[in-house]
Amino acid sequence: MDPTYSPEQIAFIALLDDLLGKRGGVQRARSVEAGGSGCDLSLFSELLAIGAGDLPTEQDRAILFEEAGRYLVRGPLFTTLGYALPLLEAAAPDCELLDATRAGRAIPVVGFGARTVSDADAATHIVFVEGGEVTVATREQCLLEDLSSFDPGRRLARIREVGGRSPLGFVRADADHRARWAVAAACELIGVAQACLDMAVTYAKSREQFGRPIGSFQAVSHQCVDMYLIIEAARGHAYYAAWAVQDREPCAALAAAQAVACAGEAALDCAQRNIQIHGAIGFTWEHDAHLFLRRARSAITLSTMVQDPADRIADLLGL
Amino acid sequence: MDFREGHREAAFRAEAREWIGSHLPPDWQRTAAQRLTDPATVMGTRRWWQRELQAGGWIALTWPTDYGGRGASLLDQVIFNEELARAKAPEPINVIGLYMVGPTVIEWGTPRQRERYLPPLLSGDEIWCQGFSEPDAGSDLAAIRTRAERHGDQYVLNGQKVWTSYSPIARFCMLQARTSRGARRYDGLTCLIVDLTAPGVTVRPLTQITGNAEFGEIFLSDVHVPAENLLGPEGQGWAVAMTTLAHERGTMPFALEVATRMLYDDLVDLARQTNQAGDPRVRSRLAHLQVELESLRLSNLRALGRLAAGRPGPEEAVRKLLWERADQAVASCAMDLLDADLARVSDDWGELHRQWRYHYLRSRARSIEAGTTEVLKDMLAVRVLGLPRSR
Repeated sequence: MDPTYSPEQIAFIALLDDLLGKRGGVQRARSVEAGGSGCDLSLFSELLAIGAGDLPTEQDRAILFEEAGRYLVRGPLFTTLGYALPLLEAAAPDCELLDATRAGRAIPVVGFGARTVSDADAATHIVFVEGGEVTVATREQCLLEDLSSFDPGRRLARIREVGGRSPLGFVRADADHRARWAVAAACELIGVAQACLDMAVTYAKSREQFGRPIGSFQAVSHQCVDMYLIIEAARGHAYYAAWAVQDREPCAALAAAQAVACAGEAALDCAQRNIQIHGAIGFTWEHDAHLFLRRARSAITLSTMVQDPADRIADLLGL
Repeated sequence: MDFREGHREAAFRAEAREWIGSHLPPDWQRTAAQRLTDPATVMGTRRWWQRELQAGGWIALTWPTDYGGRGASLLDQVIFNEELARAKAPEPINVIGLYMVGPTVIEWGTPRQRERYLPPLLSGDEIWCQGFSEPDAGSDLAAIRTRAERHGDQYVLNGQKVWTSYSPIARFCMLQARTSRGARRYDGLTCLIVDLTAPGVTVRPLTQITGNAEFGEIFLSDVHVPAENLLGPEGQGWAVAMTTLAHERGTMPFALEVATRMLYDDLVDLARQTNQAGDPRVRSRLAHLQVELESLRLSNLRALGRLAAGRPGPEEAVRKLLWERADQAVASCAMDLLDADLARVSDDWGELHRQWRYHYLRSRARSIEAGTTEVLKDMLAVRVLGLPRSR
């Protein structure tokens, strides 16, 4: 039992921190132009180049998505590596599409419920899973309608028509792709929550009103503590679930559902409180606070499209 | 990150399960489902169970062997706790002694004090309480006014303690009193071991909102305490209290988690018994409570690494806050399930309602005892998040 990061994992966090910081940090999330792509393909290529498409363990993926959440990394990182990759690995571990994805030659995204996709503007393929059957269509075979998206870095589209799909394989009832989706989502949400707490605390220390830093007022400081508490709780769940999925523990499905439920609550709570603690400046378009709220919601949207986490937990508990 | 239990831990778990199973009465699972709230019976059961634990070598597992423990790791204590929860075992009676007084006596006590006080503390033959709170010193510990004046080889104590858990059945009190005033508010406090049977001590039980009297007030009128009962040096009471509180926050949440996990398991049983487990609102609530319970368990597991590395720090208060919230939410949910089920009449209806009402009322103290929510949040804000002080 050792619920801490290994030295290699600490080094991986530092590497990601350095890369994402140098590439503009959160500011880069703002470079979406009106009518342009919501995706950031050059950053995606750089992350693939350091091995993001072929990380050795689930714990390493957890680190990748948490850092991506902190820096609000845009598509298709999360949709492709967080969602499509585990599905392809479960259904067709030898398929050419998988190799092409890891190498950056193909960008598959998941078509949820055969109706909705995210980051389709950069996608080359759309992967569908219905029952246990997994099929794939090329982007050109699909007629898509852009949906107005809440998160500018994660654009949603509705699938109007699919010209033809090729069978790719089957996922067994006990396949782990759903648990891996949940862990990825939980980690991205924790990254968002942590960034919000950091922003809120920094601001509460420096902003003065009534002649004192606002962080000295308990109405403010206790909100920061509430954010810290729920992040601590969510981290325990996420790290535990990443381990359970990696080691194929019987508790993996439940642990993953718990992780995404707790992290979703953490991210929303922290993003909302961060805006409150910043006051009017946090309500401006110019400030980053709303970008985190948007990301929290979009990550929850995707995870809820699979199944409501509380419902999944109740099912797994046999309620 | 690895949460796997090794072979040694698995063997220890099997040994613990076997021992607990063979020492609880055969019908314990059934009777525990209707856990008794009659104070006299509960205390008798807890006293008996602590003796069993001590005789079997299962009490205070993490204490050094010289002081009656096993020198075991905290992980072993966690495993043992989980097995206690699984069996719905009773709580030992001397919890203040085990989690607060004992570790403080080990750190600050003289060899003679350790020898005199620790064995009967572990067996539960001598119950302890902790005399911190006073009418004008609740969260503000430094405001203590009880005076201890040195006369030769004695201290003479005058003052009052209040809301002191277990004081009605305790033999000793680990008590904080003021011996002098210093530059800082918390200077001049001194920790003393007070025999509650000494002349001048009056203990009066205080009835709680549950109707039970699990705490009390202690009146001290010219009570003579031998100077050898000093716990730590005179004037160092604040430092001694910090040891006590660090242990309260560091190790107690492992035991608290067990109590709340048992309560949650009972809640799920209640939902099933009353045919509400399939109701979407109830399902969702039970799922959220499960997440909260797991938050506490996993925070406890993550704390193991920190605690192995050194003395508990301020961040350990997180687990107390997670616990109080979970415990209150479980009890509140049970009340709602019972409200939705008022029409049901069964043989155990009255007893079932009586027990959950007790737990519900008792749970309101969770956010007050062992550091109020507010005072713990202040501490986390300043010492962990680095925010400026509010006062």
